Amino acid sequence: MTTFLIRRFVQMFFVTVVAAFLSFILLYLAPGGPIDELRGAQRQNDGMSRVDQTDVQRVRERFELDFYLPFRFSRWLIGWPSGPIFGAIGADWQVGCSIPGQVRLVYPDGRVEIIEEGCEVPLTLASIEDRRVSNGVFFGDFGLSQTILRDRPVMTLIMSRLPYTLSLMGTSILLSILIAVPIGIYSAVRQYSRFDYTMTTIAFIGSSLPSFVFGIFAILIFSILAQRAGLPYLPSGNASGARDWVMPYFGRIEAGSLVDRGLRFIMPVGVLTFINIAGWSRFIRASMLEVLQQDYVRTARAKGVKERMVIIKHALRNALIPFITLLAGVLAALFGGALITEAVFNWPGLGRLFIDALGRHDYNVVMALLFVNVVLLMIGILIADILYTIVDPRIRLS
Amino acid sequence: MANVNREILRVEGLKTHFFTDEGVVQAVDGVDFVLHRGETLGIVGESGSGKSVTSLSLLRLVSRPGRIVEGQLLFDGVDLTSISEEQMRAIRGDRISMIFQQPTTALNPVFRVGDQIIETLTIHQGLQGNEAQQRCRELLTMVGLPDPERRMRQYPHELSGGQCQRIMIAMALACNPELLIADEPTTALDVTIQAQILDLMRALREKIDTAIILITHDMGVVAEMADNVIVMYAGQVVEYAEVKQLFANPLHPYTIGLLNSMPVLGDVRDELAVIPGTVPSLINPPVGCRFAARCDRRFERCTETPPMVEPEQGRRVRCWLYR
Repeated sequence: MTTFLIRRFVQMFFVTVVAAFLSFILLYLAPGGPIDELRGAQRQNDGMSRVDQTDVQRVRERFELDFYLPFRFSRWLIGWPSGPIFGAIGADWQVGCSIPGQVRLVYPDGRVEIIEEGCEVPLTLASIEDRRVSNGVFFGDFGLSQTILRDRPVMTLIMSRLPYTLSLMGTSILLSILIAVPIGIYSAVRQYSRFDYTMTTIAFIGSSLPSFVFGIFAILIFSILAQRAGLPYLPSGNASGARDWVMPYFGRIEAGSLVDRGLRFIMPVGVLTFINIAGWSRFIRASMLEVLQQDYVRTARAKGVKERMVIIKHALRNALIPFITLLAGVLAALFGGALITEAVFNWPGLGRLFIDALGRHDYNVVMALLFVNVVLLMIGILIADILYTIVDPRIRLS
Repeated sequence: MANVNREILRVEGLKTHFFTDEGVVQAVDGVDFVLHRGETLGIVGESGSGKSVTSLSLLRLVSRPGRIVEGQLLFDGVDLTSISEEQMRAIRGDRISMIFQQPTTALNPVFRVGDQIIETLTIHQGLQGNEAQQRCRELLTMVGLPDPERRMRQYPHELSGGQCQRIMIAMALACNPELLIADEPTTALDVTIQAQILDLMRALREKIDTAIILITHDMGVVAEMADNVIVMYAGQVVEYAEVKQLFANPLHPYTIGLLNSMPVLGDVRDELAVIPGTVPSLINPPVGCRFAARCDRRFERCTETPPMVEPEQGRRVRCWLYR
């Protein structure tokens, strides 16, 4: 067990670093970015294609785009390089390029293009000494938010959104398990019954349509149509209201009160729960159907075990073993939030933060969320592996 | 001796059909037999002849889409087809118990074997705690598993096929059943283990005086174990006889074919005799004698359904030849 854990932790460490590096590279290599945005904005404003070189320089520094990728990554990961080593060593080592060189390309047909080539002013260790640097993700410092909450710690931003995502995901996951497992069992035990057919149909709808469709339909029915019909309705978005509102037959609802928050909680949780149930109940059903055909279930019946106990004790325990795999991702999902559903309901959780951060090139926020997700996913898988050995005696850690 | 001859089970006109999308499979189509206390009845036949379905019908464990459609199962005077599910459940594992073909898959992989035996004891005898443990140890010792203390704490995957079958036997005998149904108990085991398990069953039969229904396709096992034999073909009983008579003088052409297809030690033959053809589909079984198409002694009458006849005392055969 101990050797297993040690090996797994070493493995997890490397996987985390590699995953972080890959997402880091992809993030910066993706087209677009703060400089393109700046150029685009200027082009729109004054119709000129020339960009103020100092502005570009400022943005490059601010987003650390003047560092070569490996150094940018290591600054993010461990806060190094942050200047010359021991005062003087490596003062003139180049870690990036302050001002890229430019080359004029003349095509045979006379067209001229200016491209970046080489480096005009290199970035040395000495020149970055007075730059701000985080302690590194490795030491628990996710750096500063670059655009969303300018120059405030990413951690602060995440912590302010975390309760919303935790409550949303926690509630919906718990509800999903509590509902999906009994539905799956009952569908399997009464295979091809009317109940089973109904659930199958609902589950197919639930898993084949994209989640935003349900969000939009929920808003359409429970907010807009209900409100128009003069019925009690649910607010269509946000975690708490900005001003008081009146619900028919119900009375005045104070902005930010528990009732207000509760009502706004219902739709996002409902949509997420529905989608989860659709997938999970099918999973449990399939797994249960397979187990119900096993010889040992027949043995249990032949022993005179009550049918209820045959299902709950002998079959379910075996049927839930594959379900553990599915739950490995739950821990990560709990903190990852629901990207689309949060966006549809304007829910201020981490999922929406992620989308915002991507759109606004807040690299530190994006990376922090990705990193936490990778770590949690790996912890989830580790826990699942350990759970396997507890639930299934045939599986050993080795 | 009076007890020995008392009837424990009387099966009359048992029909178990499977209602599939392709049609009604008449897996068991009119089976009758009588079993006495302490008697061992062998049921033999090819795969698909309805042996296993017959045995599962006795416990009312035929799974969907199968169903007992007709017949009586008089167990100790009570018709099992007419009692409630709860009453039936109380009989399963207590008065009638069963051993299956694949011992390794017949035990639940996630529970310790000791707990699986104790479960039976708890359900039917209310034994718990030390008492149950004690009885479980006795049972394991009885089926010849050394070190029962350690065995009880093991999981099925830690045991061999032979050991698992011993566990199954211990479980089946936990409540001293009046009827034990063994469905191909040795088929999945190595030959040496087969012999051990058969020896064990024989020894236990002497000891606890249970009626046994032994289902097998192995004529050798029948010869060793059974008192009387039923030969089944395509869902019907085609011959019933005392075991020695059956081997000495088989009547039904199918039985003759079965016995001829058995290798005999020391008897050098170029090839084993086979019965040509296969078991007919039971969705639309042939009219008349179901074996006619494969029978080398068929004649005109075989297109009519043959009756069960009793050519001599205690022997029955379903064939026009003995009419």
